[in-house]
Amino acid sequence: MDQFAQKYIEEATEIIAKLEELILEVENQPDNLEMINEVFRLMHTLKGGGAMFGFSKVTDVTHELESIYDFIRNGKAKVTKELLDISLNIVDYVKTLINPKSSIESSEHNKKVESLTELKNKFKKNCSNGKNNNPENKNTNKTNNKEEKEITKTEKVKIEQEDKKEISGKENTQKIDEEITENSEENNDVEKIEDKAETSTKIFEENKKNPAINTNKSIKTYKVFFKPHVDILKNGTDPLLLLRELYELGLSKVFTIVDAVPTLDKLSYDDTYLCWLVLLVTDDRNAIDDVFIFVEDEALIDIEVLYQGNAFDDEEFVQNIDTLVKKHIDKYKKDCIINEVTTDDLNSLSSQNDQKDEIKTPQTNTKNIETNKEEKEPEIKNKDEILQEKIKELEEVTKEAQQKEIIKEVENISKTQQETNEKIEEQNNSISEDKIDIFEEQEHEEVKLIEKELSKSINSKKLSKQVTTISSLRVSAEKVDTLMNLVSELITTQARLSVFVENTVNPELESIAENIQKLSRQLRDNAFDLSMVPLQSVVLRFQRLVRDLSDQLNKNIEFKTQGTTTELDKRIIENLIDPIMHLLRNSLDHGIEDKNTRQKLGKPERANVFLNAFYSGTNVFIQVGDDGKGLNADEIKSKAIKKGLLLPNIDYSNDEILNIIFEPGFSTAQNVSEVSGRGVGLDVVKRKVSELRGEIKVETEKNFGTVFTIKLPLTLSIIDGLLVLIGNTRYVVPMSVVHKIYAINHEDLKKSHYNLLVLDGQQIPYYYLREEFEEISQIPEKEQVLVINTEDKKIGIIVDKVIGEYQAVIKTLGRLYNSQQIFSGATILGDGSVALVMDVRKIIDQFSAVNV
Amino acid sequence: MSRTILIVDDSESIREFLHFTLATDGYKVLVGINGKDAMKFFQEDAVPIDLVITDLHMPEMDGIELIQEIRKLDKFKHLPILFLTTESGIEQKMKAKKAGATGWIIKPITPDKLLAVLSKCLR
Repeated sequence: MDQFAQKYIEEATEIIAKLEELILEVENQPDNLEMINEVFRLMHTLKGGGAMFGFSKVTDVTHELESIYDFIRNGKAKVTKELLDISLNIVDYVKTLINPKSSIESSEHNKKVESLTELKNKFKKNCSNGKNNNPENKNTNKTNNKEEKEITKTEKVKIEQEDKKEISGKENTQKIDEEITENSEENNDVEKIEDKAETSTKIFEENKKNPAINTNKSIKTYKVFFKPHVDILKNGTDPLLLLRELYELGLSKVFTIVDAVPTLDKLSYDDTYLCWLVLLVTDDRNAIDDVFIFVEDEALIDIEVLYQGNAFDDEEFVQNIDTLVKKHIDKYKKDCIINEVTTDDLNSLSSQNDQKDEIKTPQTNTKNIETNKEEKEPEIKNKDEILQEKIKELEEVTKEAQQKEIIKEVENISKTQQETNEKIEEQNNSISEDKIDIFEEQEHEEVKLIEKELSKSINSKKLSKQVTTISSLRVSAEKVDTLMNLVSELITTQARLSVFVENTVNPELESIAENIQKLSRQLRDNAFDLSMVPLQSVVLRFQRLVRDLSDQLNKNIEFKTQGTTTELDKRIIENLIDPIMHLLRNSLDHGIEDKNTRQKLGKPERANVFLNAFYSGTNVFIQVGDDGKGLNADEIKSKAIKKGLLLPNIDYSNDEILNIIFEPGFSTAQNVSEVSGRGVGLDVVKRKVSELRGEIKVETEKNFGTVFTIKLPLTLSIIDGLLVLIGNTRYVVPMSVVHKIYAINHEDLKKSHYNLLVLDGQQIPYYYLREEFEEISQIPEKEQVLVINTEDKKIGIIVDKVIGEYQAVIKTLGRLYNSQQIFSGATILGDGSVALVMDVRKIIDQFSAVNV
Repeated sequence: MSRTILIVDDSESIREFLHFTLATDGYKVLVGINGKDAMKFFQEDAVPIDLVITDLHMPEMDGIELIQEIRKLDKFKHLPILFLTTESGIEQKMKAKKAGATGWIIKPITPDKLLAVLSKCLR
């Protein structure tokens, strides 16, 4: 079971995330029924699994919540903010519940459940006016026997109503009318019997359906005793449904035994006290068994043949039915009062049965009984002699009444038979029509789907072996990481092979090496794809943050996201969550003005905070912004000067001033509030982003808002690079930034002024890396210029020689190299030596700073 | 001869639980992740199925629709279909029964009980 529980936890975590997202969406579109349905379904899945795998607390809370959403789903109630708050609260709670490390006090849990039940009742009250089949209502104010009778009466009425409903679906109205009169007559009978005999047995149903059965030779009259377990309702089984199923099997008479019903003070509305004795005429004993197939463990069931043939056609039987039933009931009374059904009870009962069956099989009536009126009367005369004598005796006593009843019965039967015949004919017609339709449809389909069919047939041949065809599968992040590492190792080894092949003269080996290079590249790309996750997967947290914070800060804020399908390396996303959270908190706390200020400035009351993501080349840009008050450059400057981060008397550019906010130890907030300013400043954000080889910058305009833009590489671990040589050292330059490569004579460089080169008619500033790296070896005659694309300009860097393309598996440099800004990592080359990977942007920044 | 049972549930944990329980008892198991997915097992040339166990609440096509779809096919008029449900929702059960379900399995269910119910339905 444990392995499934583990699976459930994984699954539940996903469902919870989905739920959270949905609930937040429901808040924006409270009338979207589809979403409510989805919320309901997810709750249900959580609940079902929770019950299966031993998370009963999860089941408790989700059950209540599910019921509330059911009300809404059915249009009986509306979504309220309170509900959404509680829903989110519960979602959080379930999160902790499924966490195996956390433990929840049961008192705390009970409190949660209670508050939910309260909420549910509130919803129920709001929506259940007019619905009165509630068992609680039914059981109020009942103190004596008389009222107990009313219970059964209510039930009876209920049954009748529901029967009518059901019948009306199938039969015509005439039939219903008959049922009604029949039932109402019976009601009178019932009351009479009650009054006279003072028995607690009540007949509440007689069914004259399915007369066709009467023509079957093997029909028998069964006695079915059904005593459900006291808790059967709680297990979701409705005994009424079972009775109704019996009722549909054939002619039946149902007796209810109410002896076990306690006095009101001991009565619990969801316990079952009643048991039933059903006399049923049917030819299919298995059908009776099937009715009870799902409750066999929850009920005492005793099925026994009472009469060969239709006992209701036997006047003597009908006459003595009450005594007979009473006799049987007395036998069961013992069981009726015992609430717990034990296996011993069952055993003793079944042994009783066996004996009975043996003794009680006198062939009283094996005649084929026809339901036609014409044949009915002679039939009575032709009965066995013993029977006839008895009938005569009976006739003497209640001749007239009997005859009336029989005639009525027979009339009913013949009528219903006629109806069924008509129906059968109708059905036959419609069936044949259906068939034609189906064939036509098939033809159409065949024409349409020939191609599909082909692939299907191939698939279905596999089906017998293949167990699941799931389009996507979940793999643990660890496995993906391992795969990525292996791919990295493979590429490193492949590089070695390539180097080795270069130095051997073996054409065959060369082609193999080339193939491996190609394959490893494809493998790398595929492995990359695996580790890419859409930003969407974390956006939910941001939504939640904005929602909770805007409540807390009493600001009306709308959070918009764009391009959240943008995919990023899993590791990048993981490391981005904190920085983005921080930026959002800043925006909400400091950026967005309070409601009054916004009103004064004529801004819309609802403020905007947004998160955008988009690709650009091999980079991903993520923007976090708001339409708040913007950054105040003057304020920043004066503060920076005060803190010694900027020098007074120097004219700084706007960008320079703004970038000060990323310096350690700078915070503009006058009051350090609870929300932001937790000692983590924008400097930490910047550092985190840099660790991901990314950059962050800020744009702002007073009263219009602020936008932070984070630029990130698509992936961290493997890059397409250009292997270059400076002196005797090899370096890797990320291919993504290289625009063009030119060859140049060293003489030309010497002639250039202010480090400017003219290439293709364009002036391009350059850096001479030999100089910057203090390389002292022999300068080659010809050198090469890599033109680097930066956001706004082109810059050249000059290297001795470009060796070629190289897939670089980037290894981070050790802790000792943290202070340097020029290299972002190192990679192992094919011959085992190490090449440093240049961070070109930083190189440019660094060297321009020196030049200033 | 081993019987083939089709499991339809959108919850992976439930699917695996049922799959494991049934497979260890020697049943052949087919799996669908929702009603729509399950319908592929009811094509003309698909392997014969002896019993279906389906969840009711699923995306794309729910259990009730699935039952209705299956019952529309002449070949499967008498195929036993059980649905999974929790203790609440008598209405749901009625609906499912009307759609043609044979019976229900109440969650939670132990493997023993599950197998007992199945053997009853398959006899």
